[in-house]
Amino acid sequence: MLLLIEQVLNGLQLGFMLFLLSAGLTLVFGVMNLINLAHGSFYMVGAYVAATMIQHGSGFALALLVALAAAALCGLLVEVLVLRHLYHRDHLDQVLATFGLILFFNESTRMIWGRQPLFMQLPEFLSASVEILPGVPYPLYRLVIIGVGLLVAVGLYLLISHSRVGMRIRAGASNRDMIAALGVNIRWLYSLVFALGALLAGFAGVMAAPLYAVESGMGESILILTFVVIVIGGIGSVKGALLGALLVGLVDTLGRAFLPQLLQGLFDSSSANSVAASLSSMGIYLLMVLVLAIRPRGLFPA
Amino acid sequence: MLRLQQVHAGYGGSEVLSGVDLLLREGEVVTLLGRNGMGKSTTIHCIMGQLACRSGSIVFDGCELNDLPAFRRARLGIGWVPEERHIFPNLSVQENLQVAAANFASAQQPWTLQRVYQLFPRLQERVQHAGNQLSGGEQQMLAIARALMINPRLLILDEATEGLAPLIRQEIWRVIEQLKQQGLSILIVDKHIKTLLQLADRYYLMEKGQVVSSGEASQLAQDAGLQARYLGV
Ligand SMILES: Nc1ncnc2c1ncn2[C@@H]1O[C@H](COP(=O)(O)OP(=O)(O)OP(=O)(O)O)[C@@H](O)[C@H]1O
Ligand SMILES: [Mg+2]
Repeated sequence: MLLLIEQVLNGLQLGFMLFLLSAGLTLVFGVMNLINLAHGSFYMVGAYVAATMIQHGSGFALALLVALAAAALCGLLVEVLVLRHLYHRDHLDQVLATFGLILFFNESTRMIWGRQPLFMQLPEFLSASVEILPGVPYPLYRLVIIGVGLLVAVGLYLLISHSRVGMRIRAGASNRDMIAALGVNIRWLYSLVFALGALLAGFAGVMAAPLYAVESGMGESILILTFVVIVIGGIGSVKGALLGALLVGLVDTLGRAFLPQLLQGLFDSSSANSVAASLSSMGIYLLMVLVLAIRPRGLFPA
Repeated sequence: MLRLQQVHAGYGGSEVLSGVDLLLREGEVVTLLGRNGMGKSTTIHCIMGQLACRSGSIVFDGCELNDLPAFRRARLGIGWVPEERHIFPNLSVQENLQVAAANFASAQQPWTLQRVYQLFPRLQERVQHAGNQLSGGEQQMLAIARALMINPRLLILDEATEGLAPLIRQEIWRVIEQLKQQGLSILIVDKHIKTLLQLADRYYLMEKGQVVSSGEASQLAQDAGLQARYLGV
């Protein structure tokens, strides 16, 4: 039971991190009709910049701020220099170009930081544990990630549903030409959305840096999960991204934690473990198949 | 206020406009006439920057519009009610109205939600409805109201009364008349020639991408021959 609570929290933590990544990706995909494979690179930039700052003795808050700014700036540059020219191209061209960007970013980080992964120390006030139940400690930092994810979700909801900028983003998603004819500078709006997405990805990168190794290519493994999330959630929907991310986080974490035990009833212990290992790494894809079978356009088609 | 000179434009390999000339003075209501497919909407698309001119010039208030992106043209004060209406389906009525970039400090009597609701009381009953839940007539009212929200100095109406029930159509005409009384400059395309010629000051008649006749609207109203020849009425 205790293990279950702990694993559910782990699942939520992974889920909220995936949400930070997928919110931007789904907006860019839904609003601008652009497939951006390089989204994971902003995650990597966030992680590297924060880890480097901390290694050089910066405080956590400053490292976070600089990393967010760096990720947003990278996003803005990528949008203005590269992607802006690809909106009217088909998806294959976008995939090729943004794949090229992945190579560029990965190679650049190797040139700047070398091949050795970095590790980021948590500041003391975040590395404590809290008792979620009497006698059950849980790392504070993972709870912080959950809290941050919730705050971002609320913030994005307010931005998109209740602000004028959000109105324009939604309007532009359905009719680009008409929103321009109402005096709205849609190019600038797209740059803004893109930079915001990059910033959130960078945020996820900072959050992830103390938990995983910070290394070149770290964005790609998580990018696949992120695409699964936005397909499950429905492309273009931030609400869908939230639900999809939590589902994927929970299914992945709980599958890995509990499938071996469940299967031990059916097989002997060593084959149970190997079957469980392969099943649990398939878990989220099975989830995706299931969701798409019932709702072909995802949970919340935009 | 608005002057088109020798505007050429088209889609792909075909030329749709072959040298359109048109002039609209401040405070005037000018109508662009012609049978289906003669290039009326294409002319408007060129003015709004939805379609690039191949050659020629479009000057609004001394600015060459061909040098400006679409959003800048709107900000100069050109409001557009497109033939297809283009209501944002996923936005509520109120959001459709608020989405416009209504800066233009120049407007003496800026349009507000309250004022457009006075003009179209039916919209007020529907503020929270999504754009795609409206009837055709309501969508048309919303398209006009939305164009007003940018505080235009020139309003361009493309077939604003098309496909509507007679009562609704009358209401739209009433509003256009009211806007004219307020001194708004209007460029209007419509199929209802009779009402149109009573409303408009001057007309331009298009045939195959060129202006073949222009003058006082009242003259054309009396010239059955010209109407029969170019408008088939
Ligand atoms: N997007 C487009 N692509 C290709 N051809 C087009 C396009 N839009 C219009 N045309 C063609 O351009 C010509 C002029 O069309 P336009 O819409 O300007 O006519 P119109 O005078 O507004 O007619 P209507 O009274 O039917 O609205 C027509 O022959 C039409 O087929
Ligand atoms: Mg037309």
